[in-house]
Amino acid sequence: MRFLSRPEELVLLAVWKAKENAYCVPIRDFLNKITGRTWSFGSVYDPLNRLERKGLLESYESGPTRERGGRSKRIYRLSPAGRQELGEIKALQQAVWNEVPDLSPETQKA
Amino acid sequence: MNDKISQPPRLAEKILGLLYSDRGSRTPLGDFAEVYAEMAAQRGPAVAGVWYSGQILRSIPGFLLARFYWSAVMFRNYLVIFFRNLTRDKGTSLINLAGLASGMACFLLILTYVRFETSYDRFHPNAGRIHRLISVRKGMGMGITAPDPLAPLLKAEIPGINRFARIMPPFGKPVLQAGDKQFFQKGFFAEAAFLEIFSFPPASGGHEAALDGPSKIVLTRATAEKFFGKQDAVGKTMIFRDLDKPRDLTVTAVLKDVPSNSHLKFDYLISMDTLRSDKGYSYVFGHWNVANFPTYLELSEGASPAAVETAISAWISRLTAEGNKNRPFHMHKLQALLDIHLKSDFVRDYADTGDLRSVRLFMAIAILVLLIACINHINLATARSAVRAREIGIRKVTGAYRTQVFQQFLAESLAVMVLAGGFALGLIALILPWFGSLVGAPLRLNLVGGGSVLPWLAMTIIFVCLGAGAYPAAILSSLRPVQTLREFSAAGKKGTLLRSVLVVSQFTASVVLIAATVVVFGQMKYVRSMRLGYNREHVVVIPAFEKETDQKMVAIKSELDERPEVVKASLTSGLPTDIGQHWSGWAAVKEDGTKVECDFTCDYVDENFLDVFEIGLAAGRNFRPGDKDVIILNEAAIRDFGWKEPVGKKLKFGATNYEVVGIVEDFHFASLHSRIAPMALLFETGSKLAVRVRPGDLAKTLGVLRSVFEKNTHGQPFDFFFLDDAFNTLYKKETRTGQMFGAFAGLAILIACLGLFGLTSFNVTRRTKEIGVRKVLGASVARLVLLLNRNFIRLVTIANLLAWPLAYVAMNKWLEDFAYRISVRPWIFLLSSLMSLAIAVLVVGGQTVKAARMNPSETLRYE
Repeated sequence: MRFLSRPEELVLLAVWKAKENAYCVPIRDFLNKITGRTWSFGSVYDPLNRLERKGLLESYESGPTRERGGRSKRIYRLSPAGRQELGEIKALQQAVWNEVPDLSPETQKA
Repeated sequence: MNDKISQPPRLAEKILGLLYSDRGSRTPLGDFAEVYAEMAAQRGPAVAGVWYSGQILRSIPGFLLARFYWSAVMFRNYLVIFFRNLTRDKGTSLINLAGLASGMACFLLILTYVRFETSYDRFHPNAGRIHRLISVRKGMGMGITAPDPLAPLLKAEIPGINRFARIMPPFGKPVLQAGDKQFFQKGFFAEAAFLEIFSFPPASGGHEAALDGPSKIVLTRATAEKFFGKQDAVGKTMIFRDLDKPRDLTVTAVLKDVPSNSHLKFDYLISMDTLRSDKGYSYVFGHWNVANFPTYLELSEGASPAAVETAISAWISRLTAEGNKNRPFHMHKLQALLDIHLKSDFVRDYADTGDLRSVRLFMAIAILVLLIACINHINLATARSAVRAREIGIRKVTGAYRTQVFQQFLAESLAVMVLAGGFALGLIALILPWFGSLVGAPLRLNLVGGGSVLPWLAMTIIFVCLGAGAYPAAILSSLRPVQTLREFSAAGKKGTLLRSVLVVSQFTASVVLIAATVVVFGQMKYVRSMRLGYNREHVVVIPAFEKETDQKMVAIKSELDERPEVVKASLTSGLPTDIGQHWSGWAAVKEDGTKVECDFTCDYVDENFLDVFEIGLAAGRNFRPGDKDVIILNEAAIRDFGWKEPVGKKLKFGATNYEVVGIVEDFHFASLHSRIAPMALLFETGSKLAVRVRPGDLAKTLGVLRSVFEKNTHGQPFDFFFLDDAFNTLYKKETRTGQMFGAFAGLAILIACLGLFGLTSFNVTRRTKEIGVRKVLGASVARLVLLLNRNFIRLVTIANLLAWPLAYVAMNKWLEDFAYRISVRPWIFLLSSLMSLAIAVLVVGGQTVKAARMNPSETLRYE
């Protein structure tokens, strides 16, 4: 397994989550939602491009729509290597975080 | 989703597209558009707009990084490599630079000249509508004057003529006087409409009606300052003196100085009414048979010159057919104002005329010289590919695309060109004054503003860069890294054939230029040394320009005749260099009995004319004092009539019957461009005093002439010229062409040699080891020199073979223009070939001999 940066990890996960509709806009929406911060397009493209270069993602162009001004989308999906990578990340995360109790302030107060 | 989908503003999208253009895909733009649409729908277009603008701003840093930073890094690398290469082989670089710089300088110089020549008269806003009337005289060619009644009648009869203005050059060389200041000045009599048709703006105030009415004069600013200094000249009075009586004139306006690119050049204009109201001039005005007026027509807006011309000839033909007396004698055509400077070839034209052929010739030379310089660059650059091969290999191995390597070398060429362009500017600044006086044009080097040389320099650089830089760049970028890194020699071989072809074309051009120069100078020399039929040495001509002086001339002549310094003096109206009054309507009976009407070139001379100019008599006698109605013809005229016993024959002109008393041997009374035409001398004293002086102390003789002249006249400045000079001005164009030709041919050859020098020195350096090995194995110096020179001797020989027919055709074409000319002989080609070979051997030989004599132990030591 390779070590991915945090944004890369998140983007990889987002692609998996978005399933058939995994192009930049929904990916960014998902990231905005789960992190609570606004991701710029650049900060989405860069991990996408890097992941594609590492062979974890595949992409193809499709489906121009009206709200896009008639431009095609670049749809991403996980490659077999990406799928495996995602699994390994999850396994690693779980192994690492297993014994750590919940540290977030809200739960501590409660 | 609602039906109306808002799209980002076009401009904003364009900008963003630009910023993303180097990142390949168009999809990011779609992503932005999608979010924009959503935002606009939810929170309004304003918010979406702000967001979109924010996105644009945020994209800039990334764009800059991708676009400039890495380019800058590569650029720095390219620059370092460029300067290392430039300084590593200083000789070759210097040759390259020098060749390009002088080629460009030469090209731009000639371009400046050509632009000046073609800019004539374009400063009149209505230039396209102004035409000059020319007359087509049967048997005598074209004339530039029209009779007085023609223009008003044309305007009344022919549609499309808006206005007209006549001018008239004064007779002789008039003097203007104001107070005690008097100078020879050049000018015209002109009608009031002249200042309306042509744009010669006043220096201050208006000039309406400045030429309306008699005794008015308009000065240019320079002339006004010459006479009146800083004072306002308007309202001042001046005296105008020519061969006629002196006239008092009032200055009515001061014009800005006439631009140097005007075909009309004048210091003053005098109102035509001055002459019109003078009874003494009544023979000029209102008659159809006296054509004294250059006439300018301004056509109406949109009128076609061709249609007007057709209408004029139809009108004249109709009047002629009707037998109408009130009509011109000759056909008339139009000459466009913009054609006057370059396309006029009239006898005694007052206009400042140039020569279209030499303009074209020089443009051709300019392009040729530039091409030769380009060829140098191509040759040196491709030859050096061997040196750069490894660098290119490494670049390609580390991931350079071919286009990147191509761009790199193109940019290197551009850098060299820009450097050369800078030097070229310096060179031009140095040479321009000399060049301007050579071509007789006031050329200036403008860096800014209208007529700036910089856009042309830029264009030249771009042209040369594409022409000479693209090929080496293509060759160099095509090298395969595997080959260049493994075997050293593969690279330099590329383009060898092309190099040979280019060297051949360079030398072909050089040989043609040498041959052309030899022919041009040969023809000049031939013209100068030709037996003209008269002796032009030691003749001083003193023209009388004023009536008062004219009346004293006889006295001056007889006084000079007594002087020991003077052989003989003659009062004549024509000189052998410019006999040129065309009279038509001579009636004669030929030997075979047919009656003919013919034209003659005539002039008035006195009985000393033949002696002063040493013109021989073929038959009959000279004029004698007291002769009346006698005429002397030349041999050409006799041949035309077929007369066997010419002396005593009669010729009729008007009411007068002239008796032929003598026949002069043919002499060249016009330029050698034309054959000797029939000519007649009439007996009457003229206003030019031609004095044959004894060779010796010329300054003292001139002093004597001056004192005699000034003793008898008071007023006219002493003005004289040598017949020799008058003769030389006939061939000024050719002399100028010859000099420029020589200069540029020399330059072309020099540049070609520079290139050859660079190429040889480069080849010799590359083959040092080979030479060493050959020497060790026993080759002699002679054999080695032969080996090194064989190839280029072959090239120069081929070039010569190609050049001969080219030069032959071109030079025969040029010589066709001369009625008397040298023939293009084989020795000219042999000479130019020998010269080109000698120059080439000098250039190449030294280096090859040096290389061949090197000690092999030195050259082989390092392996």
